[in-house]
Amino acid sequence: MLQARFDSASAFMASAKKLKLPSSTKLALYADYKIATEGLCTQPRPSMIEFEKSAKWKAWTETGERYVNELKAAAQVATRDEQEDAARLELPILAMVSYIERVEGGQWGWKFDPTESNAGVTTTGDQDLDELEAYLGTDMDEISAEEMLARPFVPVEGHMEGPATAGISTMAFSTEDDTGYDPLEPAKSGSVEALQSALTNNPELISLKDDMGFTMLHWACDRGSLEKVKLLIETYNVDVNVQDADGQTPLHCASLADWPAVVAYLKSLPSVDQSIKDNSGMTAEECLE
Amino acid sequence: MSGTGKDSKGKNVNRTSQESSGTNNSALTAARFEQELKNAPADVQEKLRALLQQMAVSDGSGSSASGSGREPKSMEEHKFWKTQPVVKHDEVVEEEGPIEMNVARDQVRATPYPLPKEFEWTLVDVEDDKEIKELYELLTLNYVEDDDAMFRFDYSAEFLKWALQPPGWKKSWHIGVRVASNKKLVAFISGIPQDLRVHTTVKRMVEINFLCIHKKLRSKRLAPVLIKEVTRRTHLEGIFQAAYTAGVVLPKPMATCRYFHRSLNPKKLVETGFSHLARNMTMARLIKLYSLEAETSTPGLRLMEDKDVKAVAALMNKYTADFDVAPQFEEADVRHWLISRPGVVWGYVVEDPETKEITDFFSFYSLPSTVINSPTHETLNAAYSYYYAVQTPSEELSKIADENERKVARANAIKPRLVKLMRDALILARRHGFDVFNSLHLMDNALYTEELKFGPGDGYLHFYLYNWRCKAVESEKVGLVML
Repeated sequence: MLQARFDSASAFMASAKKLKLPSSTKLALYADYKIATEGLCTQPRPSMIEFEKSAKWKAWTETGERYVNELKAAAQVATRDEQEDAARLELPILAMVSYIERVEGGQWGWKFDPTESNAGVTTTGDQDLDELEAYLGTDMDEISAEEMLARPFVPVEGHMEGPATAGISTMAFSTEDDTGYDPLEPAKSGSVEALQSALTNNPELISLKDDMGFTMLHWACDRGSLEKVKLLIETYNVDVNVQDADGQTPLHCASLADWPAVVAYLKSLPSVDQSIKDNSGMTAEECLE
Repeated sequence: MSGTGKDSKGKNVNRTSQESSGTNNSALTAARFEQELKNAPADVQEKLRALLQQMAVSDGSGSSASGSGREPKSMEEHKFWKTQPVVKHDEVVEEEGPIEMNVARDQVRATPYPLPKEFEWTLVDVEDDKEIKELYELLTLNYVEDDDAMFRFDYSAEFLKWALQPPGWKKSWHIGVRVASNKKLVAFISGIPQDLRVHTTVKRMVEINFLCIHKKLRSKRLAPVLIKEVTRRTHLEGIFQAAYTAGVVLPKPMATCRYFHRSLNPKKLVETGFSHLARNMTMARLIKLYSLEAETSTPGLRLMEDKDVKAVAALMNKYTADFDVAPQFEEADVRHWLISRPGVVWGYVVEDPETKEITDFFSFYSLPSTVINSPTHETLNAAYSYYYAVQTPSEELSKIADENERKVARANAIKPRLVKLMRDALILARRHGFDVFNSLHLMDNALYTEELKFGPGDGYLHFYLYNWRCKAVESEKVGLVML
């Protein structure tokens, strides 16, 4: 009967979120509820800056200590061990009684109806099941599964997703040897706009060569960015037949990296000399064989 | 999906030592680190591995914060595993064996665990085209992703049938959860039976796989109840141990293996963000670097057929005897797992042209990933190295008393053959349209990855046993491959 009254009262409180209760009342209810359902507080003390958690932890811990002392004092038994036992057994009962008194005394509209008692949450006596119920939660405010499915996906942080997460491995990489400024970077990656603004800020970049003799056009051809290739050639008039340290032209680069659209574009330009041979004596066409 | 991840990665990263034109300090450091690891005691090794992994994560330009897998574990998860018969993180296993006693069948809970009231249990009938499609869709849209949510596993329906119906499979272990009101399949977990040897003990176990919960319902905390329910149903069949793998660290890995990747289609891998060009690496050189011969080189190499089953089973069980954890394959298992199935698994044997004996075999399976939000590519076709066996001169090796010397002699004896075979595997995989060939550093895979230009991955796979205390196993002593 006590259990049923307690379940009814706690279910009522869980659904009566609109009540504006002073936090001291809320904390007292919280402490009684936790002791009634979980016993003494065994959780580690939360950090000081977590105000709400700290307050709850304090209320739960201190109320528990107070009850234990009361029960020990009241226990009509001799030894200390027996006192402990009595306190442990009676602790949830004391907390439930206290909780119900608070809910009744608050006059927030709860009245116990004995006919509803079967509907309340009761412990099953099956430890596995009780554990599970604790994980599954009985929060009345939770949105239904159907509604959740209808909503757009929002990642939920910190919820258990099972052992299967973080499974797909991709190539590991490090940035260690790629640090420092690389003036040709905008030709290799990033947007066309970024390349354009880099060239506006520093027009000399169009003829700059790196230690392999690559120009921006070489890199743009190697990376297959038709937009960048066009920008460099049509807006900045870069040398289309420039050769790198191995004698390769941008056309060699685009051919070797197999970018058909870039190759076709370069070949369509009268200014591109397709007969240029690299240091191994091969034209862009011959390189592919 | 992280806004910064792709850009910051794409800009200036270098993923493998081969792709780097200059010296690759980090690869060297990692190699040295691995060396140090091997010399350290087992528990130190594990800590170092975890550290190494964290470093790999933090290397990921900070974008992993948006990923799903690497957040600190939630209280619920912690609370759940605390109640399970698994080795604790700080526990050092002295003696191997069960953590909990077996339970008599009439002591096993007879009815399914209750679900929150809006859900109901279901069995997914994998022989029914409609239901396998439902499962396929659940997994395709909600299963494992990489840290930056760029790729998501895309197990095919045919693959799932193969994975879920090995010899001895049980319908009652294909467990689904539906929304009661509209019957939508929103969660799944599965088990398959497998005899597994752990050191010297052979046990009938269940391999747990494909735990998946609809991503919009993760807050409903269904995972623990799924795990409890599959456990209950294996108890009903008289099985009390399980094996499972995960990319995340749970209490407590029996072994941890790193992924290695071999580019077959380097350009596509760069375009999809799977791998990255080092600053001074040209695409042209990258393509050349990973080019392969058109034809395989091992005489007598051919697809495995039913008539090879007996020989392959014998080869496999002899070869896996060298490992600390390995499945015990019967002929029926070999027939199921290793004979080619179109689009799912490829098994090859080497038949000696003269003696007609089956001397070696290898296999790989297909596990594509959906490329999330890519304008150019929908699917990344990945082949995964599966079981293989080469001849080991066990008798001669057993004469070597010193353990390290024996290990070196064994590696020297099998490495050339293994490299040759796996090169052929790469050639075949490329011919079948795969973009990348993945290997975990388990079995003898570390003997071929470097020479065949595999690069280290950012992922690790952790191996777990449920209700079995097991001493830590070195990655190269793992002889188990899970799908």
